Amino acid sequence: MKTTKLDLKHLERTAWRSYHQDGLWDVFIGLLLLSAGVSSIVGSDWINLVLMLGAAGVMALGKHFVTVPRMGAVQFGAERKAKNRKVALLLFLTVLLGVALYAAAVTNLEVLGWQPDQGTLTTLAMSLVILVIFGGIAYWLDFPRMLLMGLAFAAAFATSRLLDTPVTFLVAGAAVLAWGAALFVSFVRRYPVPGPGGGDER
Amino acid sequence: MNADDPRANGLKPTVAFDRLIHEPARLTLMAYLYVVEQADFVFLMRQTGMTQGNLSSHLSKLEDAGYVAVEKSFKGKKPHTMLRLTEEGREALRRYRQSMSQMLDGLPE
Repeated sequence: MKTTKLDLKHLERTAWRSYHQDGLWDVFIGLLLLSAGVSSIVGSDWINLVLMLGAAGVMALGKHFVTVPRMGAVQFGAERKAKNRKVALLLFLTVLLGVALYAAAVTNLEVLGWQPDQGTLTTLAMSLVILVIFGGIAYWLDFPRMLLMGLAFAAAFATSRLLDTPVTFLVAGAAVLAWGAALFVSFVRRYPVPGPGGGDER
Repeated sequence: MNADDPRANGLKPTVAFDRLIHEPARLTLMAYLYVVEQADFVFLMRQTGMTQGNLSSHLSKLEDAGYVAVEKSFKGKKPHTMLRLTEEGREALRRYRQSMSQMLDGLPE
């Protein structure tokens, strides 16, 4: 007789990870990469901002209208909420850092004695920072696939700056987006919306 | 069966178990509700793999025992039910775990 160990931590982690099967994080990161490439080609940072907000909107709407109706609604416990807050803080600090570096670059300002330049070492250091940020998100979100997306992001960033071409962003973005879309389609097929009354039998 | 019968003595530890929780499907439900604050019917159905009817039946038993609390609301026109373990339910699961632990710890290697 087959027996399965009832491990509460494993149970919670499995339930949490089931919400990431939808591929929406992959779609979001793919769209971010594509927006970076497109805005470089067009030469407008405003387009980048608009596309990034659009990507966030796609993910939020997807979670609300596709994932939750299929997987159900849940409020995870205090420990999971604490991890999510750490991710939110990390993302907030990342955005702040990005804005600060952008401001320094366009105004030629020195930031703590350092001026942003196009040098290889700076590029590699920034790529490493990107990887560390994605690694932190992957760890706290219990979402290992995020590390792969971080690798794609860091590689696209580094090669784009070193080769002075936005094409790497477009290639990486298309690959991650395609993967995310495939996961999304697979998720929708695997988890149809419960039938009438299926959301509430009580 | 008298008290000296070894079979009777062997049965004694098991009668202390909460039979409501001891049923595998209900134990799984209690476990999922233990690790979250609250969840709806669809979540439990997806995570446990139970059918709607089966899930509803087990939840009713747990609700009647006071282990699960049910909050009904509406999302637009659709009824929506959130479920959570009561303090009594959490305590019952902890007691069940302790009973199992104590019994199994006494087993020979």
